[in-house]
Amino acid sequence: MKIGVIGYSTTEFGELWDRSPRDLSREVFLNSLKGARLEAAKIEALYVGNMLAGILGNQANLASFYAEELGIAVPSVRVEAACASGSVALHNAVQSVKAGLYKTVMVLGIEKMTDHTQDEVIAGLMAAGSDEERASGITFAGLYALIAQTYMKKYGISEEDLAEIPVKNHFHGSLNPKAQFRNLITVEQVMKSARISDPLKLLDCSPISDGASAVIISSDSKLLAKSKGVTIVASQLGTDSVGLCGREDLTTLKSAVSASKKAYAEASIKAHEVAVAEVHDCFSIAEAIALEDLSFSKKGMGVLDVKNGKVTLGSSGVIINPSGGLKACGHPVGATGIKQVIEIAMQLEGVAGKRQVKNATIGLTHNVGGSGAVAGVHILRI
Amino acid sequence: MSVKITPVKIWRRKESISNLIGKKGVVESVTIVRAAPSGFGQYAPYPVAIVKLVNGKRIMGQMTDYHADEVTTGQKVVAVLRRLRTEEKKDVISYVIKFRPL
Repeated sequence: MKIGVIGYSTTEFGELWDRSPRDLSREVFLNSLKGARLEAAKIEALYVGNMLAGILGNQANLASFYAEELGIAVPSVRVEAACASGSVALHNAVQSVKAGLYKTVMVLGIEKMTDHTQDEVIAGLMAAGSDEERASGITFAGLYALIAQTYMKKYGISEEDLAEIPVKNHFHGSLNPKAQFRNLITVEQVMKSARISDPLKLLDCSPISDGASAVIISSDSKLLAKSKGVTIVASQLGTDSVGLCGREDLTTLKSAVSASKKAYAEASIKAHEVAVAEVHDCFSIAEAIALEDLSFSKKGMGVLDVKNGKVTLGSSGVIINPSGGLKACGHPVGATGIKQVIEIAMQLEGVAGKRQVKNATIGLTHNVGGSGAVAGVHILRI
Repeated sequence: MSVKITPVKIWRRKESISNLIGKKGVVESVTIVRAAPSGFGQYAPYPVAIVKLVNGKRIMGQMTDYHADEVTTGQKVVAVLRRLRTEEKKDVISYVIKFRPL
């Protein structure tokens, strides 16, 4: 069965204080329908990816909340998988279409974070960790800092080396009109930015963001025929321990390795055939580990491959995070997994403007929840 | 809203927590949390470590009663019982495992 991405839309990511979650959802709903030249009545089900609405906004019953707002009284499901909520929602939508329940489904990823103070958001995000982690007063930056310490010691990587990752992502973000940060930064600026959780500094960390992203997927042959031809050829999840203490090796995320292996098999491709990928760079170290877990880089080479320009726009290899990634494009957690899929769809359709990767026909998304408890990998083709 | 640490959850784990007291281990990885979640801000910066106990089990916890040069990988530590933080007057006091350098 062919499942196409027939429409999509994302808001700008950032501190969108003048817009409510309702406003954001309506914008991407209407624009994705418009892009697909589709009537709302064609949407048979709604999947919503969101993490924090209940924790920070005190709004549960979220699937019905958005179905009502969007005026579509169709079966609606809210999916929560921390920062992987978007890709896990998409995975569920794909399964429902594969099962023949529906032909045309909308997936909405959405998060409103900047209504709340920084320490409230940091505390809210810790709901994605374990009991023991919460009782230690650690943060997500802290968890990834523990991973970074281990990785850097094992492979002899310096903080300056690591700083090359956000520098590259800000360069890509500078070419993306929807990105939260479009300014170029230097290694020196990263090194001088405030220390958050050693060795990670402010400019190693993705920001707190608002945003919404929506895709419409369909197996309807008539709709596929009039679409631009992007299809989802793999949708896979991987699972690991919630807490870091359950891991034997802190320099890899088993969930991402498992999801990507299954995804490459489902798509019948090898990693080197991927031209462009959006990976979950919530903190600098996460992009390096993603490159290795997805078999784009050899073990211990993730940071150095970024530093040597191998994954920057213009390089002949796989281009990583042309959107600017979570670091520069922003990270409204429930929206991120859907935004990644939209970026890849735009790249494959050749409509990515200044950040266009040349002749891309296969793209991949890698979306992680918690410190690696869940990973969703999707592969798209045109 | 601060990080929810329900005392009853800690109480239900009382035996497993008690069993950890006095256990020795080595710091495998450690960071200093400088931007803390709500409820912990007054204690920042503070070190949090992953400790591998002699029996092979890994535990995460804050380091306590340390000198700056002991906040490092390979440091030998012992698990001790410590008050987690200062609660609101009406709240039950939470005690957790922290790690003291040896």
